[in-house]
Amino acid sequence: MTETVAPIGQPAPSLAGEFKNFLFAKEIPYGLALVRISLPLVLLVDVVRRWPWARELYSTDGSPAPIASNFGYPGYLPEFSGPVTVGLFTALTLFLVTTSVGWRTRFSLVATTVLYFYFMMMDVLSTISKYTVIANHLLLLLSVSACGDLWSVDAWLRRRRARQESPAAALPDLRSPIWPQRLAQILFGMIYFGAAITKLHTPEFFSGDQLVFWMITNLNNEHSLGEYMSQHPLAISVSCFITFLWELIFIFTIWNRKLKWPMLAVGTVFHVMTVFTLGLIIFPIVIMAAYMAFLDEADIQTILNWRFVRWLTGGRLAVPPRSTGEGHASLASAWRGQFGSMATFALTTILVCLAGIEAEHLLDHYQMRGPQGSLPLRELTDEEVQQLFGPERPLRQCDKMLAFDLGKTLVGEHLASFQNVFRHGDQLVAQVTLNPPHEDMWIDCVLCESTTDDTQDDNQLIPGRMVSKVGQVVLRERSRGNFFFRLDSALEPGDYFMKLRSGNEEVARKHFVLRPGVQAAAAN
Amino acid sequence: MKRVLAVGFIVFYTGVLTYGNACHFLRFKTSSHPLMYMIVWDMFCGWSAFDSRTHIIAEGQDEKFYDLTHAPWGEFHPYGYVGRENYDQFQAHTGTMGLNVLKHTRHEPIARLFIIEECWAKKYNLPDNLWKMRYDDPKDVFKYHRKRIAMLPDGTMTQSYTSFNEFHAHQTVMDNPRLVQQSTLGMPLFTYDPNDKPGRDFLGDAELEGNGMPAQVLSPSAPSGN
Repeated sequence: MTETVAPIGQPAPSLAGEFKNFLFAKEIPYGLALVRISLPLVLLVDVVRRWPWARELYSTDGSPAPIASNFGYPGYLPEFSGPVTVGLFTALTLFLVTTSVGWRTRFSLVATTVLYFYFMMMDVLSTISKYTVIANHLLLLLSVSACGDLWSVDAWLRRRRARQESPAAALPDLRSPIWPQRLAQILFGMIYFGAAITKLHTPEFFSGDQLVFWMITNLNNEHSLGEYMSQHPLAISVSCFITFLWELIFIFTIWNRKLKWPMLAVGTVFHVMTVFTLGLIIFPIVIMAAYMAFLDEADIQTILNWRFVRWLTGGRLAVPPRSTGEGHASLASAWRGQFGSMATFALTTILVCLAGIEAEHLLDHYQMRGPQGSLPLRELTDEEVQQLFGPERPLRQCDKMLAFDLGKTLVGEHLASFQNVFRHGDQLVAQVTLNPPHEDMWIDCVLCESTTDDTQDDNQLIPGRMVSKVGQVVLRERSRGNFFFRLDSALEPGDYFMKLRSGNEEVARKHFVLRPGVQAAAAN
Repeated sequence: MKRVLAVGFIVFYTGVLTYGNACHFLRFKTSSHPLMYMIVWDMFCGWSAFDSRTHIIAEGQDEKFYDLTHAPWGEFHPYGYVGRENYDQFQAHTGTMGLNVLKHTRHEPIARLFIIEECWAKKYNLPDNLWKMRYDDPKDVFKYHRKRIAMLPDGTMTQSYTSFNEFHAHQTVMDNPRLVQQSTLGMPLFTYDPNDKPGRDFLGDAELEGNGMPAQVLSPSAPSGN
């Protein structure tokens, strides 16, 4: 509920007025307060996991991997010794907690922003990623906002001091200019727009190939749904187009009250799906926490008036605090309170950091203080050495191929569905999908009859006499080759094989069944 | 005053974000400074068809080999279930990681360190049930190993090779004899590459010597053979 609304009967505000209203209207910063509470808690998961490894990941007593080195700026940021690094990392952990609870909020946020940036920049391998960068941007924006005025220890202390001085005093005014929240929203618009640009620069994205490779990469957490979806490239290609469109229009539509919720809903579904399809976990949770920056005062008031929320909170939060301009403690009292709070905060910080340094020392990360000193290295077996240092092998033909599929209909560059049963009169499309990089390849697709394998007891079907062969060049920049076969009545109904050959070597085979056409079957 | 500062911050911040996206769109100076990483949103910069793992190996003076990948005090898995070294696409920091393991362990004198890249086609990552759904062929995984870096225990890099993917991408182009022959024409007797540090002990991108051509396809009669 913004304060600067044009009264009825007066002319609508000018463009400049609207722009001013957009950035400087005063609202209670509910959205940013929610981000302030939730975002540090999410980041704590990462930070707490890394705390025992801080010496190894970030200090001169380990192997830091500053991102600046990759950009050609070695020594861009100072590297500290083990104990100093552990102390600073412990301080970061503490400041994330104090930010979340809102104790010395402004200082906590500034310190968290600086320390989080430092540690992020010191480890390109296992700390910095785009979600940490997004989180760092949000921490910066929270630092310049009034998010600590609400639902925080600071607010509680301020209220308590004011009431001690004047019990009848009204609540202080919580409204502040909305521009930090607007910048957080603009940040998201820019992020998605940039992500759309990336996809525009990556044509392979739209074929779905890049996403398929990501879904079958075993680098992040488990993602079984992704592995399953990778077998449906057409569906992935369609979802790639939808994602691109959504990212492109986000910044233009998110300001429209009617479109805001559908856009955020699609975004939520998209990010949640990355948990199951790509194995990302912290990234989507960071985004979910950050999406709360899109909640304005009116949205929160609506939510607080929901029957369930009223029942949960006893209706206490449903009434917005009144702006009276009163209720502040006197200056002297405020300074006394500030000093006490500051001193307690500083003392806590020092004690927690010292405790962290001592605890890490006792944990002896490298286990150098064992009975025999440091730990020994594991010697490799002869087999391992031969495997690792053996002669480099050329790529096998089968490793140049991702998949070999049969179907009837092409949609774009994908088969609409994979099939292994066909009827007379059908057109069979055999599609080979290749793994990049591959050279210009001559690929043969061979239609074979089937025969039984006499060498096996179970009479397994294997390719027999060749019936037809189609060959084509698949250029190095292409990732698919299609071979078309008309299955007419010259072929007897029965089992067949389609073989894929490259360099006169069989790369893949596919079994399929040919049945009589529908009309022939009905005539019988 | 407060309003002026706020306006200044808004203009600066939105300006920086716009600059990042403009650079990204135009592909202009996106890697010019570490801070560009903070404003260029290239969250999907490409995934290859081959999965890889990094092995850091130490060779002792008595020709025994030691595993530095899995440090004896444990291994940090930042985003899943593989170690930190596997996220170093350019092998810019794995050497330092190996040296750190050496620094904090008990071992014989070490002669050399190696970074080996192990690769395999990602299609073999599919679980067996999905493999059977789509492939009629047996799942026959083959792992390729490629030396990326050799270094001395004092951190001096003595050999550096391109990645598995870069090497094979190069091979796809350079299996053309006409291109190979044309690339050797007019090659100067003395070459100067400002990217290479002087010194005969350093073999930088050994397979890409001479105008970016893989060394193994160059004729020994080329000027570099003099």
